[in-house]
Amino acid sequence: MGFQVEELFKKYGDKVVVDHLSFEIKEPGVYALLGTNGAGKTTSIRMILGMLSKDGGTVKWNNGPLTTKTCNIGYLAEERGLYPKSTLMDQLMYFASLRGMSRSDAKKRIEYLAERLEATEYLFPKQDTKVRVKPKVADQLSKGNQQKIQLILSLLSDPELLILDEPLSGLDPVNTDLFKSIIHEEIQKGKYLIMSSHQMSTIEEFCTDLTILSRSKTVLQGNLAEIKKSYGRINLFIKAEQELRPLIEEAGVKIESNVGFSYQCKVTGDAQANALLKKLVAENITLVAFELREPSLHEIFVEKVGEVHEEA
Amino acid sequence: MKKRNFKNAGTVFRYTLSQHYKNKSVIIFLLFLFLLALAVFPFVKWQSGKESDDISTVKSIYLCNETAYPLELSLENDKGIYADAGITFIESGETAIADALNQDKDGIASVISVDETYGCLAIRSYYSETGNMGQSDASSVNEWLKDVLHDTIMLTADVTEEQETLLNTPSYSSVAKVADYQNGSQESTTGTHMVINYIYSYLIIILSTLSMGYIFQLCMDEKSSKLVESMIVSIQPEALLFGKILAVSIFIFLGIGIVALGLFLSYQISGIGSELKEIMQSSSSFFSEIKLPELNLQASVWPIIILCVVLAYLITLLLSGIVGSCCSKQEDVQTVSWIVVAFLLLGFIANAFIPLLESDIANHVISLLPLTSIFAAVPNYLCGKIGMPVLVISIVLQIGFAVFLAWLSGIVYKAMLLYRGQVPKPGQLIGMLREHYASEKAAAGKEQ
Repeated sequence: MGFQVEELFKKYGDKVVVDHLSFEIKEPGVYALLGTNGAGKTTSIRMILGMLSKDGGTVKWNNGPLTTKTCNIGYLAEERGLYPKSTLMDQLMYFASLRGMSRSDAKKRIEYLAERLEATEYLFPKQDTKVRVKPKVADQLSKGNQQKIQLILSLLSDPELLILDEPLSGLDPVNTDLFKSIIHEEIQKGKYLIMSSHQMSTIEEFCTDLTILSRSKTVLQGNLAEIKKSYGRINLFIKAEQELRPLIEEAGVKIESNVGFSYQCKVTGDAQANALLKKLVAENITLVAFELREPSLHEIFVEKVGEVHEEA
Repeated sequence: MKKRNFKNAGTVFRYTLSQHYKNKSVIIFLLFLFLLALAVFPFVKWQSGKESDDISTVKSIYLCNETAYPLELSLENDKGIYADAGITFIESGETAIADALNQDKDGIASVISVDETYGCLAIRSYYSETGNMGQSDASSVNEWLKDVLHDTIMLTADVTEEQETLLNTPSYSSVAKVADYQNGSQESTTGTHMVINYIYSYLIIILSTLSMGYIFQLCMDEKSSKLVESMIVSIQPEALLFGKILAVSIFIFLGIGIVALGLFLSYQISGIGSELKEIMQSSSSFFSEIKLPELNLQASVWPIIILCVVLAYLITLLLSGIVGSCCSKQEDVQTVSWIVVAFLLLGFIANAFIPLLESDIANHVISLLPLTSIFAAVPNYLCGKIGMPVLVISIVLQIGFAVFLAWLSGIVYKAMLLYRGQVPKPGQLIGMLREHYASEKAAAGKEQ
């Protein structure tokens, strides 16, 4: 089992929009595709799905070509939409039919997903005894609720490979949690997920491996934990009950920001942090917090993308 | 074009068609059409009956007979719609007519004379501008007087009804090559050819324009709903477009079928029968130009005609699909619809005017050229301007053209599906297609 992208390449005229992208997902889990706006994420996804022709490269699923025949694919596009005037149920059944599902299987699956996403009232409205409740059409739903229907569409066929392009954008915190719970469920079921997002905290929550794209090129790739480890623990957070700035600066530690007696610092490594801690203890400072941690994905992203921009 | 690219077209077809019929306004419109069709023949019959049974509002007719024919003879028998009108013979002269009409506001004065310049009889009717009668009343009296005069002439000549029928036996003329005469085929007159051309062209244009708007709308809805990106994970663009085209064509044919059923029932209910031909010929000289015996209209030709209509319809639908694929928003539809309209007009105009040249070469060219053949091949065959072998070649070329358009529409639809900008200019579109085609070819090569 596994998913593999090799040397994916695309250009429009003379402009290269995806420059030899390669990555591999060996085990089930979430693979993150990150990048600035226009870095080539969506174009790469469209090429992976075959909706955009590629100028080079291959996409493989279990060592064979990735097609709808060889793999059950689910896709939540970045540009989301529904037919505005058709009933939601009609649209879902239509999609299910395109995926080759029987009506009864589709109905069961829709019922389950609607319940999980708290969308039952839109898809199975309770019939009033006096007035007939008409089935809902997309136009009657808020943007967030339309997004729930779109997620149901992408999960209808219980896909093996699920591609989510900016799945949480525009959602309120309650719906974000609902979506996250579905993503967790898919991970637990052993599905392969490719996720593109600008929300770094979300990516950190789910993904194991990632690729960061900038201006069509891969700028960083690998296992997230290993990448973080390679950067070392360079972020130091100190909180005390008195002014510490002179002591910190004496130890050669760079203060990034400070609010009151809380300091966000950058150290060169464990040794510098230990030296500072010894100094603070020796000075009999009461420390509320002294936390040494790895850089966040956000910081790594900004650093890596920033480097490319500076080079350009 | 691969067969697998059309997988699921049936699902798209069923969904698109069912969504049409779930629209209440569509159902109301079809019901309205059916009721309208149902009312056609009873209305025609009632109207024609009304015309013949009506009693005219003309109360007096002042006749000035300057001929030697005794009009009184036939007026004694039947005065038709002027049964209640008083008929007074007056003397010749402007004064007599003016006096009569000044005194009688509901009268018409008519002068029947011999026109020596043209060597014929002339009927001229007058009405007073201050009276209650108008031009239509005077024209109606003229028509009636023509019949009266005809009857009088027959009575004067002592012609019996049988003799009159013999005298009035119609005839038609035609010209043909001796080879055609030997083959048993015949060429129709230009009049018949023109009328058949018009009828067939109108049929294709009506079918195409009815469907064109639907196709544009469906292509645009798909793109503007942004659902298409999620859809093409499950279906090839060719199947998506083809399913929609099929749904629209069935929708239109069902609409036509409903109207045809309504007309059939209307015909049966009204019991208009043989009166219809008479009414059509009297109401329009257009249909009287058709001389059915001149046409190659054997029963075996009907399936070929139906095939040609379907092919012509399919070609215009595919063209609409290609053009519709370039639309991203409502305003784009107005920008691009002229392309299909121009195509239809070009074919129609060529078909309408080239027969006037009476050139065999021109008729063969427009029957074979796919752009014009969808309009010209069938009328030219029916009127004997081309033979069966040429018609078969034309059909083969049309099938080839339809396959080419289906292939092209698949490429254009796929290339334009994710495009959201302005309608591309022809040069831009060709560039995009070339790039898309090259990528597809390269990808296919690598897969192999």
